[in-house]
Amino acid sequence: MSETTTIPTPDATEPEAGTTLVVRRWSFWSRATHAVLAAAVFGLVLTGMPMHYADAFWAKPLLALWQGERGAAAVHKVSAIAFLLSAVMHVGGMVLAWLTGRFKIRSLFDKDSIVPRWTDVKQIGEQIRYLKDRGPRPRFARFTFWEKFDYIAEVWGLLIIGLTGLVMWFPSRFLDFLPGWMVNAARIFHSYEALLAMGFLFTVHYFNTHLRPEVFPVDEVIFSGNIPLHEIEERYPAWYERVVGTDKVFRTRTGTGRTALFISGFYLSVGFVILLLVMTTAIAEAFRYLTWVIGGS
Amino acid sequence: MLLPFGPTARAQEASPTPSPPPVGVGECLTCHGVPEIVAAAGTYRPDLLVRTEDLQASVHTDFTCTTCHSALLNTMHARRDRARESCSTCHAAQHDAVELGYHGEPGQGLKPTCITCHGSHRVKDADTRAFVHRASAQCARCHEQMSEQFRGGNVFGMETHLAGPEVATCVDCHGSHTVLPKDDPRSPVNPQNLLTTCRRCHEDAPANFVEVQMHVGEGPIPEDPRLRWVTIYMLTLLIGTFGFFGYLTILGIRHEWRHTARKGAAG
Repeated sequence: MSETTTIPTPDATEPEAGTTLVVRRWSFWSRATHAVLAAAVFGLVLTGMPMHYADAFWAKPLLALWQGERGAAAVHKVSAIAFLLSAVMHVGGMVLAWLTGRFKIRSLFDKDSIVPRWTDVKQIGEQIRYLKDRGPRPRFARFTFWEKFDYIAEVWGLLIIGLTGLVMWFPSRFLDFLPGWMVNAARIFHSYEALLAMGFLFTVHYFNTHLRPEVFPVDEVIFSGNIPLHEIEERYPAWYERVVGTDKVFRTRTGTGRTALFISGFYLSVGFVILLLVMTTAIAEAFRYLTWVIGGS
Repeated sequence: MLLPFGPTARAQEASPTPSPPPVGVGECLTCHGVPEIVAAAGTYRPDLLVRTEDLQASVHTDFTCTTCHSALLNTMHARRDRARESCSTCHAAQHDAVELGYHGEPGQGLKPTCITCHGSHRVKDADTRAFVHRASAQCARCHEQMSEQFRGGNVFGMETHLAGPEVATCVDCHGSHTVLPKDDPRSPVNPQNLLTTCRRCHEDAPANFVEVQMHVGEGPIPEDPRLRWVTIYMLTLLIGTFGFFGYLTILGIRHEWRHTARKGAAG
């Protein structure tokens, strides 16, 4: 905390109580997209998982929440539209920003871009060495390699889940140009990719955001869009060097809002419960399959 | 209300009613209504017990025992496969439909009778989707493998299991009373008739709609080699991703714990 006050600030006035030096990490549009995406994912998971694990003890009680499988199917489809909407918002926002000149294609290849670079590959090894106390902490730029993976996995997952979902929703239209087995393949891709996405979001993504001990139970950055400068210095040293002292740093009021706590708490607890339920069933099923494969029946 | 004389209005117009000496429900239930009867013959025979609540939940509330069990009066306790004869007294068309199909052929092992799917003392209204779904569970009692292959891998399978009332089940494609093997040209699942069967629900189904597999595979690995590769690819991706990030997370937690502990010890 004490270092932040020594950094040259754009406003030379006396810092107000409850304010911090911050940098904008997520634009309003990004946060809105994330909100739509998060709501869609929960709608999809809470209806799709009980449909996939229909045998599980928690499937029917969870479906009762949606007035049975008909209601669940309807919620699943509405959520699917929201899911695809988030993709449209993301791409549309970029196109609009590009048209108005606020976003340049060139910036995709900046050091602070979310697009992976060779540095990220090197930093995987560095991070493992650091965690084993055998080396210094990697000097991450604006996005670490796992944050980039999170983003790319999301784009990939949305494409796979969205496309295969549409195939199952409108089989006749897709079979006009797809062979029949592709519909079966779509079902397989859809459920495994959903399991992968849900597992990743509710563990790795959570552990790296809200569940970090420093910020638990809520990482303010996805609500305010601002990340404190001292946090940048600690977590993203390479980015820190590039933003410190520039006009990107500004002073603003910070603090955790009640709404943010509520939303984050809701998503974390519901996500964790459904994850536990699905994992219990999936692991039991994996054992059953293993015995099936070994038994060779 | 239970009438002492069995025949209903429907039975009268369908065929000459069997004319056994009238036997009231109460008379039979003197023995068959007490729970002890299941052990009376020295063996466990739960089917000997007739529950009044089952009779009351049936669509046949106006029947007496001998409306169906007419043969019992002469032979006493005839075999249950007589059910088909008894039911055909009123439901002749359905009886003939069963006789046409595989389930009607004699001497081909254990065959279902009317009551296998419809129940005996508690006969439900069969003209509902809810009944169709319950019946699909009855198919699985004998066709266990086909049922597993249906449920395991396709879109309908799991929703059927959840009793989604409008989702297709066994009888929607294979037929109900007249069940015929796939190679019979009259079967709705015969390759020649398959598209017509699909189009009963998917009106705009293109010709290759029939290529979509319904019985995909029993275990996690489908039988079709292409689908097998899709599954193996996804499993590898799943295990690889969780393996790598699980490893990083465990290292991270260990690192965090070590350094917090050290700080705590120093302070």
